[in-house]
Amino acid sequence: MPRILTLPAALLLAGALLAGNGARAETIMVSNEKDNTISVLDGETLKVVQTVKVGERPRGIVLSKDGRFLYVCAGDSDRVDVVDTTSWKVVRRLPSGSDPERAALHPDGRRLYVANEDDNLVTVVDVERGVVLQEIPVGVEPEGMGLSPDGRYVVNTSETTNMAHVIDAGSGKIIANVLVGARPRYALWQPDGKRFWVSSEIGGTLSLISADDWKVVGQVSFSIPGVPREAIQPVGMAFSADASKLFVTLGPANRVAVVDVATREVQRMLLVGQRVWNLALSADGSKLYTTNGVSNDLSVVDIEAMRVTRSVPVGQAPWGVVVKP
Amino acid sequence: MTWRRWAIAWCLLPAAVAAQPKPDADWPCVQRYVPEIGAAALWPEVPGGDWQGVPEVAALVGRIAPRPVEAEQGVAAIRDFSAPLDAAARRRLLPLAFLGLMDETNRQRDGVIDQIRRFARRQRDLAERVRALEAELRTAPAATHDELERRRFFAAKTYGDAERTLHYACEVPVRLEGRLGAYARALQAAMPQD
Repeated sequence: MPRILTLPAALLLAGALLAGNGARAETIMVSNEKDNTISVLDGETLKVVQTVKVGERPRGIVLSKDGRFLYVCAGDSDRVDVVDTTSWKVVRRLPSGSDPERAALHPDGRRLYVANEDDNLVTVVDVERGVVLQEIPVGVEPEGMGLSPDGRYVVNTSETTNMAHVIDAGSGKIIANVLVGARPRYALWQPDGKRFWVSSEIGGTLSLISADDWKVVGQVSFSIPGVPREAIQPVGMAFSADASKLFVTLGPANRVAVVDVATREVQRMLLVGQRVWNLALSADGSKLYTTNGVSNDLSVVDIEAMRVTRSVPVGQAPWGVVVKP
Repeated sequence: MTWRRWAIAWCLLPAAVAAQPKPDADWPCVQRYVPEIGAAALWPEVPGGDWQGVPEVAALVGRIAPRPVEAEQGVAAIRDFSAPLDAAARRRLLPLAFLGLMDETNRQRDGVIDQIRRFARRQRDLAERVRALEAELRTAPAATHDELERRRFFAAKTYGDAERTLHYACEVPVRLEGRLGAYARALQAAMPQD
């Protein structure tokens, strides 16, 4: 006799399948600088499913290694809030030093390197014990934090000193100071660990620095017909999944530049929302999400089509963005 | 940072300074000074044409460009303006409307920026006056001390009170830019899909 599913059983099965699909969808998290919140979006529907209240002026956000926690730099509250990514509640507060702006997590999953914009320090926090391990003096207005893929080096950029400081993660000592363009905002290592890129907001350039001798080995400039050069302010950077392309946010130029990593040529300038700050790649590498601080939205870029497909309203002055697979 | 490390850093600085843009002493905002909003920051291709020569476009611009108009009101007016137009008229008129709104926004923005610059110069003068009065106080005879102290107090207070409004003043150009962006998106949304 053929087995026929009863209606309740069929509904249960359909529910389980739908739940399964839902569980597979990625989660996008956005820090809203003026709302003091984190917007949580379902990656499939692109709807805001949670809004988490955090400390004041949240900017840099980082996921824990296992994705269970989100570390939030709450600059005006002088702390790092830890958000549980299941309950969507702040479950702990970590010491961070004054005015934390950006942070980067060491591959060991324990050491969080926090840039203290007001204090000219990088603070190293043990996220498990909730204690400060070290304070490393750097240049004026530190911001960008980039960890080499092997965890040996931390690069911090200081906005006013116009330098990238290379810190030995083992000793906490600065081993090189590299001059870059004016107001460097972010440092990003190539996945091969051989070089890192620094974006300079006022200089309007990218610097490429070799890990062999800590020398600048290349530079990228941008120009957009019909946009004053002062408006071209590179800040956020992210690689494509195969690391052949570098996506760069250009601030009030409202564009994301697509740079060919091998040739360092600017291939495209995608028009996104206003005052684009940062960006993150979707888990499958097919999409880019950008935070737009003046238009208060998230732009979704289809990477294959090189086209902006959606604008999704989030909170006030969205800044940081991460994706949890 | 150790003195040795600072010394190394400063030795390296002159080369970098030469390559860096000069700081603008009259621009007090944390946002970098941008002289104008460029069309390509909000529109895919830079449009051209004389928006003032098209009466219906000029009328729309005149209605929604003034500063007191909220973005939502302006966006609703753009929708009403576009609704009866056919595809060809939209292709012709909507980019012109964007140009007109951008020109007017830039004109308003220029005025705000002039005010911010005047504010910055006044603050600089006030700071100098406070410094001068402090220097004078250090050597002043006792008889003039109270009067000098009173003048220093009020100059410092005026400076401090004004400084607290700076953040809001610097947000005005950003708000104008935000409203123009909302208008540009509404106009783009009404453009025919090719």
